Amino acid sequence: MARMKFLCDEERCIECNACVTACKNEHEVPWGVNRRRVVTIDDGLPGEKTISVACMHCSDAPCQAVCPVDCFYTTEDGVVLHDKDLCIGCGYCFYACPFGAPQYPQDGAFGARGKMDKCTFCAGGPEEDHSEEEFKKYGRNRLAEGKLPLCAEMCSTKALLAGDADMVADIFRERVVRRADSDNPDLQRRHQGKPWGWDAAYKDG
Amino acid sequence: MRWVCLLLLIVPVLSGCYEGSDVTLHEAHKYKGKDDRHVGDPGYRREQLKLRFETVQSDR
Repeated sequence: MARMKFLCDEERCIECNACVTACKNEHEVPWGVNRRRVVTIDDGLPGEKTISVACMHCSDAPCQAVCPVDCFYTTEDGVVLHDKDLCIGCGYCFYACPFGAPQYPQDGAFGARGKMDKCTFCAGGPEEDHSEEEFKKYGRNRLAEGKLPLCAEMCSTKALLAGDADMVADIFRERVVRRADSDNPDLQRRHQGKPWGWDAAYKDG
Repeated sequence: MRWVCLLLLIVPVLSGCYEGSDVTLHEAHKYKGKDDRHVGDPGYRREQLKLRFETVQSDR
């Protein structure tokens, strides 16, 4: 079984926000909801890092574990999706997710919280593929068209990779080896770990 | 006649107190929404995605 994953290489991300724009445009995401965000750590300090963050489609997803109405499911591609018809907008998944992926649109004059919205890995939802209802609720279904998420496809520096975990890991591994061979001790020190955000969110290793 | 009237009074009152004993039990952590069926063959789609990855995600 394929296991679709995102990987953001902080050494390559130039904080251009093109992934954010591409996502909003492709899925016509409502105002106030960001399925993807670019986050800068230690902004302005030496060694600052920028990463593009969205749902990481965890192998052992905490959002799925805490949902009181069990509206989450994992597709055969390993993409974590949810059924908006079941979602009650309780916000448990928001508190459980360490990446801040679940978002809630605000409806009406009093800003009532709507159904949860999050990155779908451009895989739509449980509605019929390419239907108007699917687009309206979940956005475009690019995976069914044989395409990968647009945010990663249009990343100019290829910092953001999306696809089968084995293939993504191969590319990243080659990069790490290349950097480890470099003479820069800072680069060597930073690239001893595993790809960021791939394991169960609250487990070690 | 008096018993019939009493019966007609008691039956609706008691039926209002009735509570169904059938309980819907849901298995926890089991997805209860609609099935997500993709159009086309999953194997073919996987190959397409692989090809797409090699085309657009290759390292520079």
